[in-house]
Amino acid sequence: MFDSIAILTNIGVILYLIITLFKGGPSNFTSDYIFIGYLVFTILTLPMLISKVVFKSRVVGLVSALSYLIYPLQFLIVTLVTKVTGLSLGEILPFVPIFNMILWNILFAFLILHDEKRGDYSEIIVKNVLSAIVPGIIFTIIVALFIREKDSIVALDYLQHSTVPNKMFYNNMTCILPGQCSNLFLQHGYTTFYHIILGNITTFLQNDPIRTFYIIDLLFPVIASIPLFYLFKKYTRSTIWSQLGVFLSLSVFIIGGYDFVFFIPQTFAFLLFLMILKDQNLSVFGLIISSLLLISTHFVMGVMFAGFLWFKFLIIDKLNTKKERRVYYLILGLTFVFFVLANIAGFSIEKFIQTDATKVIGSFTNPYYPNNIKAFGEILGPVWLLVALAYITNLIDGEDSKSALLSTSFITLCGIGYFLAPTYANKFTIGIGVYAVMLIIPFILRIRFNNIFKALILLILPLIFFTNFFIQYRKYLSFYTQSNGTVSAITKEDRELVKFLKNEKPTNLVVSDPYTQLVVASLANVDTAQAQYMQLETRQVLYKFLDDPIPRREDALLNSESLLGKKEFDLIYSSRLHRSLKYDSTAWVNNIYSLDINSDEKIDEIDSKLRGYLETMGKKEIYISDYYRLFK
Amino acid sequence: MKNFYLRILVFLILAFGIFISISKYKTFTEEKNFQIINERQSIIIQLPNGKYIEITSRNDSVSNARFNERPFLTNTDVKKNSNLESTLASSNTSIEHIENGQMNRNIQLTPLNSEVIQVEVTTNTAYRYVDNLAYKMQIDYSEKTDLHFEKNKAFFEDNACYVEVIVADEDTKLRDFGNDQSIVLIQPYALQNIFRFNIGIKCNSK
Repeated sequence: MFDSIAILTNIGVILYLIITLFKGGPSNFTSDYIFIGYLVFTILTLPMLISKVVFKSRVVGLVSALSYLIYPLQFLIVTLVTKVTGLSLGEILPFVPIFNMILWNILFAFLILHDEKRGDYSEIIVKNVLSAIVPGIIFTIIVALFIREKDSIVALDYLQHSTVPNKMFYNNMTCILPGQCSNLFLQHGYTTFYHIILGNITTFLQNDPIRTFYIIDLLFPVIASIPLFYLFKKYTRSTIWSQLGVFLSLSVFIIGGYDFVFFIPQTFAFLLFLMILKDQNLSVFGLIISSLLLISTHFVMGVMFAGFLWFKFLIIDKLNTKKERRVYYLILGLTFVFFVLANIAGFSIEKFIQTDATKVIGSFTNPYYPNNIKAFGEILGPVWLLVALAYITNLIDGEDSKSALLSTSFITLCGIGYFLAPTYANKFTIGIGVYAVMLIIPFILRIRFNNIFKALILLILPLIFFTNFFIQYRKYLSFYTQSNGTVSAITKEDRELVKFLKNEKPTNLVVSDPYTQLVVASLANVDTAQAQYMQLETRQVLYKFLDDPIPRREDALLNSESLLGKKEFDLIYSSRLHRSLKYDSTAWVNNIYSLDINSDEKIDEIDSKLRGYLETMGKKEIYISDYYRLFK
Repeated sequence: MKNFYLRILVFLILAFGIFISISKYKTFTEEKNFQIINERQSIIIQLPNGKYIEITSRNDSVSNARFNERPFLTNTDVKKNSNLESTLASSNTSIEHIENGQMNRNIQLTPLNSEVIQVEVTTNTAYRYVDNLAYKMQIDYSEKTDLHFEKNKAFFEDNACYVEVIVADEDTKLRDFGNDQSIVLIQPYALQNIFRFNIGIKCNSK
């Protein structure tokens, strides 16, 4: 039956795509929800099929995590083909996601047909996968209906990361680190492993990027449901409790961590980590391979996840006696308390060691006591009480289940990372939701409620988790709420600007306010002065130049770091710059994260001195809209 | 037996969790009597009747009978969390940090509920102490109102909103600016002055 559901659904989608193709041609696909959704799903689940069908391994495990390497491998092959044939990357790359969609269908057919001969093994796999994604689908429907606006982008990260596949596709560039392709990366935090996958979903087929990012946000939780379900099945042996585990894990919103909310390098690394964690007993070789994979995905979070795996291998797996486990639980609890107290006393890596980084950013990146305790508490809200109860019970009992040992350890390690407070400490809380659920559900099952109470718990827990998630997510969205009430990073004025720049591309490096630069760099593939990461010094000299343009200030701007040694620049005089000058609003000049989303201040009149000076520089004013002027 | 107590505890926690969730949701969705606009060079508390309360550092003064200086008439740095909170962190508190050279002023506004905002202003300035020197900060209503005072309270009242400024600290005095729309909070001058007060807002029309 489950085979049939999967086959019929797939055939239905393919038929829809064929009809769409004949009705409007391939260009119709670029903004078609079904096509983009199908592409996202096939690209992100293809490695699981490869693992199962090609390597005869598990759907979720180390091999399926490693199978994601097919994408960089394909890119390598395509790069070699371009060298041999002289074709550009932009000419070949569109065929890669199409090939992957076809490969997905071939492997899916193999999965169904091949196992039919040996019995009905595929039926079990498909049943498990469908069971896994049901809570994910419910979760996504609720998010789409009550939290997210249609076609909204609510993470600037997507804009930044998409500049890398843009450079690969349009500028024929190949790179191992994103900073080698795009100038929007101040530090090297990852390889381009993630960016090649993102390219498969967005740039390589020229899909509407805004709509694609929106659909990724909706489908990523559904895809993440698969490893989550397998992980919970391993510890609960129950389908319904595993499904509850999936729903609860998805319903934790962590500001800075974004577990399953956005598909970005750190959450991709987390997804791979969960897949690897599902594997029972990894050998040292397996651990080394896993570590390399995770670290290549994210240089910081990957190290943390790899560290977790080694910690499990070296310490947790070696705990044998009840006494050892009790002592271990106690050490974890005390260590956590120690680091919380150290933080309250004022210790912070960011404050004491990373002062140079905070100077570049212009402020601290973390909240501090008591706000950090409050933010930490809000991750799970009242569920922390259940976590505490489960912990105390496990401590007294010397609980030996792997789920209890792993989850307590990981929560403690995440907590230590957070309260040591290096820059962006919030990121270290990634996964706390999953670990908490891994701790709570087996604990509830152990204390044996009768069926009525179990049903009640199945009802109450999602309510508590999702309410907290809803509030946290909506609070987060306030940053992306425009003055007209729209909740998205892209304003309608920005869309007009992007449309214009796609047809009339500036020839020089574009200078504008950081936010506008980010929009045009990602959506129009325009070279900018490091966009949202434009250095504070460059922001200051740009502001001074626009405020009072004189040759000395022009020189200072040209010689500033974010101009990257260029001796010419084009200026987008934006609504955001206009407002800043008009109201002397200079927060963006002093802090790298001070970005103004609204671009609704009409440019009534540009200062005549500035206009005259730009004319003497040979810059011609081009009217784009009431909100944007281009001087080139 | 142990499981029995654990089951009770679990249910107590779940019941508490439901209570907290409902209460948090209610607070979150509750229509507030005000909106804090933390932009440009001042903090604005927008009221539903179209009027607003403004707290701006430019009006701060350090003065006595013979001396009058405005430490933040100009500034060298302004940081506001309203546009700083991007994807890194968010809080319920609005923060404005103003610097003028070595001197700085930090203001935090935390809404306690739909009617009360807790305000804390910390100033670090460097003036030589002389007799009766005082640090004064100003709170302005957007137009003339019925303004009256009690011991540690000031009230702005118009046809739609009733705004009270309540000072808990005995060192802080409230004075009428004399224009029916501004009040002044006064403390004896110190290198660091901390003003703590609550603003209560009740409006008829929402």
